[in-house]
Amino acid sequence: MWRSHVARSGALGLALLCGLAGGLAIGSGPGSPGAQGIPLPPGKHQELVVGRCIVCHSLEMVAQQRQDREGWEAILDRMISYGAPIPPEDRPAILEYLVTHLGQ
Amino acid sequence: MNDQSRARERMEAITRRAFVIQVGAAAAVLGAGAPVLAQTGAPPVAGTEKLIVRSPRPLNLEAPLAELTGEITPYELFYVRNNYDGPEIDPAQYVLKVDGEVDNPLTLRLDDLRRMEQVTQTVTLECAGNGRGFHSPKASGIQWEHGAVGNAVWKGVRLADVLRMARPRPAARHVVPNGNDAPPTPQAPDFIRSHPLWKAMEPHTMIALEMNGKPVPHLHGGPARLLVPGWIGSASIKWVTQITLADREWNGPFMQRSYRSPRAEDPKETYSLQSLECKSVIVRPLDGGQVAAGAVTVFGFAWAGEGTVVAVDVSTDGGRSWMPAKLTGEEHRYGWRRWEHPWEARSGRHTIMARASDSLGRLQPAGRPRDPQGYRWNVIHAVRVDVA
Repeated sequence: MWRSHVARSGALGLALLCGLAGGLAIGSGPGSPGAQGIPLPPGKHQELVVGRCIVCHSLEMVAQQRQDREGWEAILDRMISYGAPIPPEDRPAILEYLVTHLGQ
Repeated sequence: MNDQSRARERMEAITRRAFVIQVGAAAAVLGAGAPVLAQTGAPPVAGTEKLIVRSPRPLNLEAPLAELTGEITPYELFYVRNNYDGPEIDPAQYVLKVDGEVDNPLTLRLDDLRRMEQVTQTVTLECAGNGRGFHSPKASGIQWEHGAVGNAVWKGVRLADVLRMARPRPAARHVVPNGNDAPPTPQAPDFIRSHPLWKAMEPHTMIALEMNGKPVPHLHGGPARLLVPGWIGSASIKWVTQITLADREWNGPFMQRSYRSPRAEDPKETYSLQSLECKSVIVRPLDGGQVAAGAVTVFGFAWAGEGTVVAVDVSTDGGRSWMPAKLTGEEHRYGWRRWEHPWEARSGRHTIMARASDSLGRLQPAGRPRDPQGYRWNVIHAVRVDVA
């Protein structure tokens, strides 16, 4: 129940952002927003990464990184130790997104 | 509700709030004009539109190298590096505490600092990670290119004068400054870095109250920031509100994990970064640009942290031959030095390079060994130019 609720609020946020950004010419260079107004590549678990990471920092901080699995694991674990709201069951999905779309 | 459910509820609430913040930021961008969003997707900060937004939160802004043409970098072009953002401080409410291993703990207001002897000096600040984006494999962190560097005129009080008023005890060996930044969670470590007392007492180290003739802007650590000349930018703690004297180095992650590089003699061991490297950048001609055949002035800036730039050599043939450039700018102990070199450009494609050397015997290198956190990038700068 909790997961689906979070996913819904995530979808709502994305929808609002897309609505706000709609009709604007959005750049496509490095670090600039993608087609959805979210500066992260689209893909499975993107909404989870968006929802968890922007609690503490902008998504640009994530989008500009290129790390292998080991690098992303270290970053993710450091963020969790710093209080990132990432429950253990979300860690594998977030890691999968990061390694797949922002790999070294 | 059990503890796990409560924790989940809390996370959910935080996530919802974060979306509201993000949407609010997007709305602010729309209010301020669409071009900024098109360029960066970030909320603009008045007067910084020329800067490249590496991250809107925490705010990290980089100067386009092409814009860094002046010896003094104005506010509009001065890079911003925040590990955490901090709230604006009302100058009337500002208080600096000096405590720890001292006989006379101090509580100083801005007026107290203004009444002390003021010193003015031109100092280059550079982020330790400037150039991180050029490292391969990629290092984690802000992917700076050349523009996390700037040179400003700073006015304020010598830190040594403040520390003497506090009367350090014999046990005091390190100075631990803390700023008014705000980590996003209670668990995130405060941004604290310490300095050995000898550097804190060095007469150039100061608490800056003015930058380029105006009160230090909030983005650059105002109303009062530490300025540790010649050292990596993170030494110069912004919004400094507490200076604690201690018998040992600070044991937090921003000393013991970050701002460290592998030792040359044993890369498995790391050391805490202090001095900036010896480095020069070419401001003109522009990389990938075109110039007309004939007389072209190649120019840029060079700096060397605790060293002094003694020479900049320029190659206009891709590094086959080198000619000494003329050091034309004002000389400051801790400021960058402008240099220039006349070049008779002939048609075709050319690679121009600049290489600084300093009073510590350091020469800008042709390559850099792997640095896992992406610091110390000072590889010889090369630009490719088409001459029509």
